[in-house]
Amino acid sequence: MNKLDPLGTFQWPELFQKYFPNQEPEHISNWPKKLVEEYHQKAIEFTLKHAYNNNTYYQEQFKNHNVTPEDFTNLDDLEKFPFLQKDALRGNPWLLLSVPKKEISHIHMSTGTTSQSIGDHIYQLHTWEEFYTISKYIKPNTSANIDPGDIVIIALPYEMSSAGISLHRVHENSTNSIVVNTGKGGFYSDPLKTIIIMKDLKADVILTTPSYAMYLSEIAEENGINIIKDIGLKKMWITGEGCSNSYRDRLQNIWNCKVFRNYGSLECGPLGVECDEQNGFHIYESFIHMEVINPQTGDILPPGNIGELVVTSLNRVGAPLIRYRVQDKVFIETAPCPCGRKTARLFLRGRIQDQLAVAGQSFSPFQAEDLLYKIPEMGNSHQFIFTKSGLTLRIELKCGIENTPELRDKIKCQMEYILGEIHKIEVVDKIPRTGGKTVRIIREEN
Amino acid sequence: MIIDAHAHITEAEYGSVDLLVKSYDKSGIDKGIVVPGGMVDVREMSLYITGEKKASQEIPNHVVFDALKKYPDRLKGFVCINPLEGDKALETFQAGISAGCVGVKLNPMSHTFAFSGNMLDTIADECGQRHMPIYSHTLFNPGASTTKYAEFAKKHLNTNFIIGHMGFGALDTHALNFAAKQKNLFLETSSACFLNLVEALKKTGANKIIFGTEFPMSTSAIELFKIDELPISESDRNKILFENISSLVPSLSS
Ligand SMILES: [Zn+2]
Repeated sequence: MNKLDPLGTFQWPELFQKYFPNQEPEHISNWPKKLVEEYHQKAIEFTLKHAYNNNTYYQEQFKNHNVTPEDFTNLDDLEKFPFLQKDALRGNPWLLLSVPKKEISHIHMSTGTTSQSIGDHIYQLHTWEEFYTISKYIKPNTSANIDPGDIVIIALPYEMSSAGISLHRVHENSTNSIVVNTGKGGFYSDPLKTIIIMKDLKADVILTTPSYAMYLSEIAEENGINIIKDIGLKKMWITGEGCSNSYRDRLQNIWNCKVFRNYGSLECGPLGVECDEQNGFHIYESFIHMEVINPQTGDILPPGNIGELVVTSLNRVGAPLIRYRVQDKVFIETAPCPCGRKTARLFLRGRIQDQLAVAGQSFSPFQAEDLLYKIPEMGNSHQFIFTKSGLTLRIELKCGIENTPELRDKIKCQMEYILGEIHKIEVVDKIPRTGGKTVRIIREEN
Repeated sequence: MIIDAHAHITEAEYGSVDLLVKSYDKSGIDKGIVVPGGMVDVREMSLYITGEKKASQEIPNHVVFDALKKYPDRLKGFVCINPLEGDKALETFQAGISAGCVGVKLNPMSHTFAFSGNMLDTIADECGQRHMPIYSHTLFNPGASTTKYAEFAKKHLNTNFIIGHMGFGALDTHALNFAAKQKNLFLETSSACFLNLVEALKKTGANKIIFGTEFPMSTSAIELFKIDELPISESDRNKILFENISSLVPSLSS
């Protein structure tokens, strides 16, 4: 039964009916490649026509590139069509509107990581029908899946950004679990309250950010709640922030459950989720089409090459995305996953804006984080501070570990393996927890 | 006279000391310097690079200590130290000296450290006072690069440093340039490609090049063949095959 359509009167879109007659798009992970391609071709054909006929921006862009939807006869033809750039969306809420405005039922807005000032915010428009179907399309068919009746705590921001409310919808409408929203506003929930709710309801699953999951475990400990005995999560989904393997290992040990990364973006919505192998995101192939391009030339790269992710939405009508450049560095693995699913897997190789540089050498903060949390004396929080004298690494030590010059020297020696040069290791008792988006990078160069 | 300046020995049969000595006999190698192997199973090397397997953090120095007892006339040993182990690193160093080791082996890949910090400085100074060279390979990582190794060597001019396998990758130009410039920096030949040797000779001359085998990854015969192929004089060949390492490790001459 569909909770949002108890009478069964909802009119599913034509393509959905044709390809997913049993309303189980997650089964695309078992489809032969040919059928996936056929579905993608039909869905892109539909999206191109819909956008061209209903949106002046796309119409102009297509004309400038001398293409019409008729030029799309197979998947390879997609490369004839122009890219959609992130900057075009900034401060242009209605740019992609492709239905009468009154059909839009919800607008998401960027969380502020890249949008800071007036005129550079990004908005995403959705129709009710879309929401209704999207939540079906992105039901994960991996062991990250959530069972009917599971108590699912959503400790993510609900204010404007998409992660909290869209995952809320997925689980309410699609996995038939019992959703408890503890997130609020631009900040996360009151942590103690969330822990109490989790204990009272015996929560099965939590959806949150890695740093907030750590924060919750600390608050529980401070208040005498044993998260393993008193709550006993079945699994955890993390999203919103990058997370190294070693930090994830710590979360898995602390919460005594498997932790699955989730990958998505405001503009594209959910893009993939991990399976038991925890090795790459199984792509939601029922919902999006992916290409990987050389960011300099725009040429499509064969599978396995690292490049920039480009996304085309397959079932969105309110504001469809056509060849949207996500600005994330990725590669796609088409070889079957050891878990048995046939869907391609996406590997994130860093958001282009995340790369940092020390003494002219660039590094990924998550690669450094991975090494940092393997150090046994290391506590559960850190910050990279860029000062005029160089990089300061501010860390907490594990409870009971003494802060000695020898230990700082050792940590410096180990972290310089990846960072090349560290100006100072600064040990503090506690890096303040914000309850909001965690700040790991601080710039004090001026 | 031929001396192999770099061989690994393992507890496992594929890299046992008996096998090594047998290969020395076959190829006419007189002596060798052994370091502990087996922290990574080199038969599955790529799995460690991709992260599918994790290097053991226990250093099997005892394999070297035992080998020195078994073949006192044929073998010398380098003790492997992880500078991140704090006081334990110094204890390991002392244990190595007690067991007769004549140099220090570093393994920045398995132990993930940079060529920096007080512990490495202490070890390098101790090595200098005892005429014990330091041997390490260099990596692509910013803190364990050839450049950082050369900087480390520059800080300790009384200590000799050997760049394993002539540096990082197929042909490490930095390694050749640093070895040409810095008096206390040497290049070890095992696994290095032939052109690398030719270029090194041009830049550093034979005085900076030291023959090694990288047993059990390679064999004595294969590595010796590279040296035989070099268009050099008999005296230069002798420098590479035993004189250079003998001047770094005085006890090899006794
Ligand atoms: Zn899988």
